Amino acid sequence: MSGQAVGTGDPYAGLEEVTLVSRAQDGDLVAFEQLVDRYESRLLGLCIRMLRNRVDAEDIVQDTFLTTWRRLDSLQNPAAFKSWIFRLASNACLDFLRRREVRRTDAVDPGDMVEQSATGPSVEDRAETSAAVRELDRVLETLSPEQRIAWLLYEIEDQSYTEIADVLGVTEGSVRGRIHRARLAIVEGMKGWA
Amino acid sequence: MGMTQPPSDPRRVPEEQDILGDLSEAQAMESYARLRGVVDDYRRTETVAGDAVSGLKARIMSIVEDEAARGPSTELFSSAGLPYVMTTSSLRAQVRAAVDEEPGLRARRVRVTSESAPGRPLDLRVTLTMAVGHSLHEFAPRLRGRIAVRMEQIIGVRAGHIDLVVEDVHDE
Repeated sequence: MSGQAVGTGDPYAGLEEVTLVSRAQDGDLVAFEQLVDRYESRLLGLCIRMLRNRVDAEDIVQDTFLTTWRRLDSLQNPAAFKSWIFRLASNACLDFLRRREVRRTDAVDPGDMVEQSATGPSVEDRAETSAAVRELDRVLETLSPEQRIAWLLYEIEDQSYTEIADVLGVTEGSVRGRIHRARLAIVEGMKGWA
Repeated sequence: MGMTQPPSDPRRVPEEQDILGDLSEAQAMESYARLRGVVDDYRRTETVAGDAVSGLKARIMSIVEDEAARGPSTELFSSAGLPYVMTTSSLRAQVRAAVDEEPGLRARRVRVTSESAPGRPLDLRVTLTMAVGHSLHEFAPRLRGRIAVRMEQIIGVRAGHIDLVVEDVHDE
């Protein structure tokens, strides 16, 4: 990849995101790699918290980056890259969970259930992980996928209602409603902790 | 982070009404505020991703590199009129390098705007950002010369009209 990093010094150090996206649109692999570095961990964390399965989450993050690479030229506004890549990953997670739910509903033979990917906690099972965090993780699993993704984008990714509405393709009011309902469910599910 | 509440929604599903039956909105939001520390801990707690990201990135970049190598090409003609092709991304990389060599400039996009033909120079449109304190009039002739030299020496074609577009001004 360094073959394209021509010129003196590191021309990519400190490049703003719009420039990185513009260069990646022109086939610059180093610029694209910088974008992978910026978003890989964040997207993987989001997908793991959504799907609760690392292998499935990695597949979705890989597909998300490959889709962005292949469709980069269709992105009219490079400044919208963050919103675009979160939209691709979020939609992929929601689609995945819908398909998993359909398979679960359709499975009449217990043997069919083996085909489904196993799910577990989304946070590391370490001694320093508090019981309260584990409980919150458990409550989050009970939320609808639409509520969970909105809550995660707001509380973990620190995105605004407007940004989340753009990512999820819904109105800002709908985002506010989903996050509010998620909070109510968290309060209800963690009564002993609040 | 704001804790504003949306107005009551008459379309709430029964489960939500049950929750609100137990707790008033204000009480619920007070309780949620008391959970702020838990939410913060949850944010800081590592997901089960661990150190797996490096392997994932390697897989992504391997596929992307393979696809890039099969990317679009640009047909060019040598000074002797002989045709040859070069991947368009490589051609653009050389122009970007010429821009990046100029202090205070950062290349964005490069477009070939003329048809390639024997004996005909290649016209370009180059978008870039400029550091605060620099002047387009000051660097434009020097940059056009730098790009033309690089085109001739490395790519083997003459540069024609080079359209420079400053899209943004950045801090250094």
